Amino acid sequence: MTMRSGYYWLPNLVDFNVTSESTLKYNCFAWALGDNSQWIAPTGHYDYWPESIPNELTLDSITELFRQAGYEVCGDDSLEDGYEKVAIYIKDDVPTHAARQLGDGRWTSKLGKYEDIVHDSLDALNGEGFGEYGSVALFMVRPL
Amino acid sequence: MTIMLKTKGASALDKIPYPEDTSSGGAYSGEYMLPSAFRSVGSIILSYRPLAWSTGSEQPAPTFDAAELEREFQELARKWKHEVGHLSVSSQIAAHPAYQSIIDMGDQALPLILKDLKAEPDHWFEALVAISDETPHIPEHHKGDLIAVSKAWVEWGKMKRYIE
Repeated sequence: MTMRSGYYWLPNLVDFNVTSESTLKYNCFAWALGDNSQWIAPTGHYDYWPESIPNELTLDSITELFRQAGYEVCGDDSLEDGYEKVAIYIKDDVPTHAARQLGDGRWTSKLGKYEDIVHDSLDALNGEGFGEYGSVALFMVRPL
Repeated sequence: MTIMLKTKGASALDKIPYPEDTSSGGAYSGEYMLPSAFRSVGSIILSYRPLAWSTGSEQPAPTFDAAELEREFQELARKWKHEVGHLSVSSQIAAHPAYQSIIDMGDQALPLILKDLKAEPDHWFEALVAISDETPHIPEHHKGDLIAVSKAWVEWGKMKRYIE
């Protein structure tokens, strides 16, 4: 397994654990949904995207993707027993990333085609610079 | 910043938003500010095809010496892979200026892209569609399976004799 000390475009990501190998099999949206079998994103020629959701890269479309998987919008990232939360990042109003909360309160993210990682805070992926993910715009929750 | 992204069909151009470097500027063509991280790419572009992707104008693909072409391709591909590997949306990944410069190489880039794809699956599909104006048949259940899509494109390349 490749062990990275950091990611080029994510300068705030310092403390993290790498939990998979790099793979093109799945991306952050799939991983946040608990799916490690497909690349899920709107607007791509070959990416999976449900026909029932508008094929556009908007926060509404990404929110609907998670809603169809049983998530509802919630107010914060606090750890709640029996529930699982996701955080959706946007930059310049465009969705860039999603992370899923683990049972111990930490977060897991698939970084594009790179590895899955576990990071302590959501802020670790924040950044408004070129190529960065922006910041969390929305939390969603579903019962486990 | 908006980058003109070539899509299927030679004249079809979509505007794809791309993250903007607000930390500093740097004039590229006089039409927009090139992000600092891409200035070296910009100079490469200017060396053989000024303004091609900044204006969306259709110009004949330049002819390269094969070795020079491969060097250019490898440099652009390296930069593209390095800078978009953490992104999850294909349209954003394909909007990278280096990727667009590879599309601007036209048919000459096809063997190089396919060789790279054969060695390691990656997000080359938007470029392959844009350049070839073809879309190999991919079963609907393979949507989202980019490894299978990579294999289909490699097979297409073999059939068309772009690669062995």
